[in-house]
Amino acid sequence: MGRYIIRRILWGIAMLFIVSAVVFLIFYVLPSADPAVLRAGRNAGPQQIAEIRHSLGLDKPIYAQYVTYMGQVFLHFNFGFSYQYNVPVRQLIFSRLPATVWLVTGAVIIWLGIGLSVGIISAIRRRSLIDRASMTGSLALISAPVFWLGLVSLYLFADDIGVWKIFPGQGSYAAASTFPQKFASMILPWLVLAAATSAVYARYMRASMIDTMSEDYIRTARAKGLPERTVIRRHAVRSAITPIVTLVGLDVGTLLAGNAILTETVFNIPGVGRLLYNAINVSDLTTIQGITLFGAFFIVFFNLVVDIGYAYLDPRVRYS
Amino acid sequence: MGSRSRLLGVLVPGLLAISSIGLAACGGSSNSSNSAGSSGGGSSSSSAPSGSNVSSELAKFPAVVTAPAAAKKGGTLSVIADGDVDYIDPGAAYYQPTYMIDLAVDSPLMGWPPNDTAAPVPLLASAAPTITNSGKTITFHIKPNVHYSPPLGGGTGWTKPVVSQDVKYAIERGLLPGVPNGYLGLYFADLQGLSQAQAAVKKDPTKAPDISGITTPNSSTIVFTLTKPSSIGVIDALSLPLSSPVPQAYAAKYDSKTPSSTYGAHQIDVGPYYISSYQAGKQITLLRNPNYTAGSDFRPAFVDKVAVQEGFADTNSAISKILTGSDMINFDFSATGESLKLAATKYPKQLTLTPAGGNRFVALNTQKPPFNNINVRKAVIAASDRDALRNTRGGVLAGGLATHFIPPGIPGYQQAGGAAGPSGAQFDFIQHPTGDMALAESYMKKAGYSSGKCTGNCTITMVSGNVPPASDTAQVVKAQLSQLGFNVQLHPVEQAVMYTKFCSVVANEPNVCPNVGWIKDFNDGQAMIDIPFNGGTITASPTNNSNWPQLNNPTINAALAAAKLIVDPTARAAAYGKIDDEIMAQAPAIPWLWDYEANVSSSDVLPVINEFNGLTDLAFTSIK
Repeated sequence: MGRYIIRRILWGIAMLFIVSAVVFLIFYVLPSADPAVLRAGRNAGPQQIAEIRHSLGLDKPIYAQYVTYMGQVFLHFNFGFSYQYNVPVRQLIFSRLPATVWLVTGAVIIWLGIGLSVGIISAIRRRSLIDRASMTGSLALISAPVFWLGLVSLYLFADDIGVWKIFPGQGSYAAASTFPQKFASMILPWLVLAAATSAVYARYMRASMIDTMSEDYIRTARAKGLPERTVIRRHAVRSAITPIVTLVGLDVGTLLAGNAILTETVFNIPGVGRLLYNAINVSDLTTIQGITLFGAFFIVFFNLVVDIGYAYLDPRVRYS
Repeated sequence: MGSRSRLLGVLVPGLLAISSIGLAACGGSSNSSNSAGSSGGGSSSSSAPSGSNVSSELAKFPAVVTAPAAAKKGGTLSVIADGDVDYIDPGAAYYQPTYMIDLAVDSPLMGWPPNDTAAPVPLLASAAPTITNSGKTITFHIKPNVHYSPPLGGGTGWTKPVVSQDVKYAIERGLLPGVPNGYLGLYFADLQGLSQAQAAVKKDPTKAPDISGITTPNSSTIVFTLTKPSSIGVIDALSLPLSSPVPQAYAAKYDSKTPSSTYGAHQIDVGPYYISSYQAGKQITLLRNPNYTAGSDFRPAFVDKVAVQEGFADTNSAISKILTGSDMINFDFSATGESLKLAATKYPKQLTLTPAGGNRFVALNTQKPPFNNINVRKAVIAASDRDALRNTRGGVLAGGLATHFIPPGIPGYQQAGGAAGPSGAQFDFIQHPTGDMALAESYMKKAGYSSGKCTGNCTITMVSGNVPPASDTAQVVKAQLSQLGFNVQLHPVEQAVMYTKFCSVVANEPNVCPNVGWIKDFNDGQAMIDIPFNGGTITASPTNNSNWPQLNNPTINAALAAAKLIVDPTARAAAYGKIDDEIMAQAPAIPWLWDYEANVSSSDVLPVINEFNGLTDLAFTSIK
């Protein structure tokens, strides 16, 4: 297991280099805006633009810029300087990370709680009214775009513009100063972000449970006289949940990497996703690069955690 | 499972990277950062120029431009924002919403009371400047006992009072690449010693150079010496935040940082408010400046605190939040489309419309076929349904239909024809707001297309923004061009890409750039039409060109150079009005909108709109 982990870490580092190189290439190949011109403003002359380009290091060859950047990242944990905000990128990302962690953590708890419960019940009561209703409902939630769901929830439930003024609305997280206020401000975003994912998990869990419940060892457990509840909880769920573990790892990793962008934008949560969106708008390459690297790191890390957890859950899995 | 996770471990981050860049297609803001203008001469409410649809909407939603007698001190004003300021550093700020903050925290030499936009009035200066030496020397005296605020970010700050050398340094630091000021080279181009100072910065970009044309004979006097008598433009430009004082001994250590000065994060202010906290992209907080002497200038400063909350990307719900909430106003977005209709119908008392001092036009590249033919350009303008273009931004509430390039409120507007536009048979192509195909076809025939429509090689390129309303405008333009037989290849891209890779790059510019426009820096014709239509702009900045039609007419260039030197306001307005008509006669673009700034506020806010930029003046606004 130890050698497996080391091998995965080294592979993860190599993958970070590949991802960063891809981002660099995409930035220069696709017609992105010119950050030096954007920074200089609409009336700036060629000399001023050239000076700004030089101060940002953009006049060096691409490979030289890339080597300098990666050296700073790996040797000094320095992700460069944001062209747009004039602060270190690391500072920007760390200032945004707590909001995204808040959002993702709450959403994960909700979607796991709802998704797994609904999936298990649907599998146990296959083809019942509950099963059909929950699977139809999950299909509807999967089909609804997150941003649409978010806007509808604001217009229905936000305490400022909603029809039923129940939950704190857009921008309430940024304005919150106490833990209860922050918690309350996240309820709607959690529900919106968890909605589609819980539906997906419900369907996955249902399918996995149905497969598992038909296994021989389940029949054996029942034949041994174990209560049905014990058969389900101790034998069926434990086996059926292993694919879900993989999914959770990937989902958490990608959400922390900025994939909660739509939820953060609709609810005005100053997280990593929103920062990425703003950075793309103004061709702030260093911020885009920094967030992408962070994101790749989270995905690699959570993938590794998931794989180790997988080995723990399923004793048949051994890593050589 | 192991191989699946390994594959996903590669694919997912890679896809994330690709989708991150691909999301660039979703970006871009078409919100105009607008400036306001009155019809000149000052008024107690936003006065609309004559013209049926131009004035009626303004009259329905008038802006208050003086502090009401009932204004009370106290309270916290919440300012709801989509984006951030461009720069928190006043030396680099060049964005009208940023000026909303700067008007409250900075004190340039000259300033703009909300109801007086005829000319700037002394702010840090104790009186209007003295102009001598045939208009080439401008002398200011600054007010005594003006003190700096506590610093943003904490620390000891600067306890000495403002001196003239602080104003000199504030301007000089604008040459540093770490303080990318966008207008120093433009409006101060005639300052003596500027080119030498620019050369010095090239050698050492960490130290602000000395500009020999700015002298400080004593601590309360500052003198600007010009090589040409362009004093009016310089005085106007000294109302922008660049001349708000910055003490060199305090700021130099921040200005020496590369690639960007960090003074902005440690700034000290001299206005009635100061920036007490700033988190980029998140929030800005203004508090009363404890070292400001109340009554020392025209800013009353009613509220105790201003809290700017950023990140409200869905402006429709943000507008709803403001209209139904309390203590709130908008920042860098106007009410448009559905939210504008909502405000106008259900909350009319909470909506104000103000001429923004800007225009929008469809630029036709005059250097490339087919629009290098003036008759083709006139045909396109004659055919254009400018009302349909205006509808893409919300209809009559969005602004007045433009008929030339100087908008209402800017001297020269009336002289150029006002709302009706230039008159005379030679301007028949601009006299039909919904288009005149017969007239358009007659111009096409004059251009050599005997059928009245384009034949032969009729493919033209157009690069536009890719989000509404910019994309909607582009579609309307495309449809209108197609009626004349043109085969339009439309390329929607992100707004910043549209400018920096295509429309503002002379070599790459397509035939049509439909989403361009200009907004004034201050109330003067020079600030409105010099850059966008001066041939000198093209050669001066080939990769950052703002003369999108690439108009290079020697007569117009000479007229612009001469008008810059006129001092008498009446003659100056007449000159720029005449030039505006001469530009229109060349048909370089389809002018279609003179924007209104649609500001909203909560019912308990008494907003005062500054006609300089059409935005709420934080120092004059109060809470009931």
